Amino acid sequence: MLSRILRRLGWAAVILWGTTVITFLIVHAVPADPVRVYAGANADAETIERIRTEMGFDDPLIVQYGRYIGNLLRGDLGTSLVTGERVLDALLARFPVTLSLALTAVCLWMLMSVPLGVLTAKYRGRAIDRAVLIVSLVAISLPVFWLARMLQYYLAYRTGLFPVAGWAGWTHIILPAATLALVITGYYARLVHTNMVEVLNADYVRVARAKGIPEYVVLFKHGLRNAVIPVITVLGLDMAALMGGVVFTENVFALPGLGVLALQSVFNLDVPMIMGVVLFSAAMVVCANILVDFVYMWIDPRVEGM
Amino acid sequence: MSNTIPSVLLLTWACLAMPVLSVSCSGTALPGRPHPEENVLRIAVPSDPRSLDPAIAYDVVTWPLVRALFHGLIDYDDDLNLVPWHARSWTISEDGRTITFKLRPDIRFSNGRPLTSGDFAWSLERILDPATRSPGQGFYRNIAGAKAFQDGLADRVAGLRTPDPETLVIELVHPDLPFLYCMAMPFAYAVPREEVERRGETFGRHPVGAGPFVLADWQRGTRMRLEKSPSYYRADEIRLEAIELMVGGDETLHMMMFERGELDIASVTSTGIPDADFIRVMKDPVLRDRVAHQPLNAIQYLSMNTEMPPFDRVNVRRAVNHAIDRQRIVRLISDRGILARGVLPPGMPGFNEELEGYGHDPEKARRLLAAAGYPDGFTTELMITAQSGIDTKIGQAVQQDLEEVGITVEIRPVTGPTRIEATGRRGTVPFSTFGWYQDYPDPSNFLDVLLNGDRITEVNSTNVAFYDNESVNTLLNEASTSTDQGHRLALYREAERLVVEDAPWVFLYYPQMYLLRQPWLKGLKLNPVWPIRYELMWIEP
Repeated sequence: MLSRILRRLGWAAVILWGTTVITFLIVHAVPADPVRVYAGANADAETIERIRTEMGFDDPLIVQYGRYIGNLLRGDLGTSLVTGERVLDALLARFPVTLSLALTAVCLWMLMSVPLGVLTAKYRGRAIDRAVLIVSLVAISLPVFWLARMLQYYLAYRTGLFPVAGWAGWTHIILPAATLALVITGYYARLVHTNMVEVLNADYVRVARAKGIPEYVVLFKHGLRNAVIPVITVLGLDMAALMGGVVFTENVFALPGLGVLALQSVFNLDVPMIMGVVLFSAAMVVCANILVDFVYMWIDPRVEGM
Repeated sequence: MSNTIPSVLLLTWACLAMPVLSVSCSGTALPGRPHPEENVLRIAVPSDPRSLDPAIAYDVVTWPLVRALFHGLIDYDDDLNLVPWHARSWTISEDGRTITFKLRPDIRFSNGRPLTSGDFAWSLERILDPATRSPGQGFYRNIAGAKAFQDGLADRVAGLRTPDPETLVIELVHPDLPFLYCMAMPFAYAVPREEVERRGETFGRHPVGAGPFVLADWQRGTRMRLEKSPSYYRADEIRLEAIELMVGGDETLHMMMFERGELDIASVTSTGIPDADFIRVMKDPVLRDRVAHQPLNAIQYLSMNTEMPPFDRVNVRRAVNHAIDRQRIVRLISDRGILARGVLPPGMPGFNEELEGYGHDPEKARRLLAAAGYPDGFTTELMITAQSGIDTKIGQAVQQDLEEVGITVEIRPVTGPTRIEATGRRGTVPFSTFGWYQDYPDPSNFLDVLLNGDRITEVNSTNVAFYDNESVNTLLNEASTSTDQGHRLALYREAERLVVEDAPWVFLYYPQMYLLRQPWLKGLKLNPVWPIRYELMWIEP
């Protein structure tokens, strides 16, 4: 167990180091000058060169990377070129918003997709199964930013049921979380459905039914517990995809989370902030995967020996 | 047995529906609701201002906030004349190289300390200090001793003197009439040294100034609140109690919030009303009456790199000017611009009404192309900003127009920063869209900065057409050191005439700002330099 944890953490460190190298190369390969962005289009050439020297952007790339890694190992992610804010402070301030959004969305879609998956597995081939399949296909095909704008327009702007945007309490999280959840629910409902169908045909389920165990116990204890294991795996892998959805959703609903921070730093070519957001998101995805691994072991003890 | 499944589902969905129902019952306010807080102005900005430090802030959204927090020596009246503000008066020496400001004695920073001439001198020195990394340092390099100070050869800027707390003397290297405009820019506003030293790099997040408002709260990415400063020397004239800024969201979102009565101004950016909503707003009898508009001292143009073929030939550049239907481009942007005939916009001193510019004449364009040695046209690439809807429209219109005369244009959309970097690099971009918004209302800020050949640099050039005409350079250089305003304007007019003849740009249009505000917002006075002045506004429910 311990060696497994250590191995996972070792790989996590390698992944994060790789992320710094790739991100660093990409942001410096962009054919644009962060100093020019900082100084504004009206600044003259001398001003730009003086600021470049002050910011250390005239050093060779390898020196800049070395300095970055050195600071990173001391827990210093740098300072935003644009706002002067410490990158770590900015990330920690934005993280709770993104986390609330992601968790609410995950809860919403699990609460919707698991019962739907079970229901459609139970009534496979019937009208409800087909209806859910069609709705799921439509929902999966919807672009997040479009759905977000539609929900915002009809449920907030036109009817006033929800706040249009901003961040001032839990009511502000419902529409954005619902947006993410609606797009993903269909996929998970199908996933649960497929696994449930397989499990419900297994011998041990037949035995359970033959013993006269109540149907809901068969479905939720014997069936669902086994059917949900692959779903948990996919959930871990989907954390990365979720971050992508979060960027769109946060921007449409003006939620002050990591997604908005990421987009703004890209537009401002705020190199330390871009590096920080990417590294932080990568760390989150790695952590989510490790967490899923352990949840997996807990649900299915056979995994531990693997 | 099977009955249990629907009941489990029912329970789950009931749990899900509960928050939705509870929100529907509490609901948000509907349009037409009364203003929630008396005399609190509610606005929204797409992202956090980078800094509220006058030395750093340099954009149209942040400057009005900096103006609300700090105080400068001189300001503009509604006719764009410079008028005393913190300075009671100023004099310029005979040789035009020494400016003496006499200051009011009764002004204090919001921390209670009186503001003296020493604060202005220190604030200017701070702009010039390379460690401050101020984007505005270039405006003040004409102060005597600035270069030595920047190069680390002197501890002080020799040309800044304060004989007494109410007198500031600035000596210049050479006479420079527009320098006074630079003194009216927010870069030159006074900051208290003790607060800057206490806060260090975070001063921009904890600003302390002598303006009509103080910063009460700033939650990054969420909101900012400015409140009326009780210590402001004309506090009784300020009617707004607070300014509440929502941070985040794009202009479409802000428009929705405005229409639901959640904002008092739809957008405080230079766009004003989102492109997609503009026609609807102007056709709506209620909304239309809430629109205020102001031509900006700005120009939208296409820059042709005069060093790169085929644009190194003047007839090609003239042909492109004749081939493009600028009237159609203005229509495409919902008439939100005034057709340009030259470089200087109508609000700028020295604007020449008699300039004829280039009319839409494809036939003439073809003849000019043939004369330039391109009877069959050529292929080129137009760089545009990908995120800009207006750039896309311009790009497509230009592509169609030029195709008619045989010029094939490939549109190359790039991000804003990439475009700025690439166009400023010599010999890189042949053809690009460009926009310029004034720093101050003087022709030098357009002609000298954008078209003086002596200012061409290998990288980061602001003369992106790399236009270099000896006669124009001589006129511009003479105008920049002349102390006779009438003579200067005549020189700039002549320079502009020559520029139009040489056609390094396609002069498209002068943009206008449209501002949509609620009927209860009063005191909005637009002018081309300061479209937004919060200290004049109030809410009258």
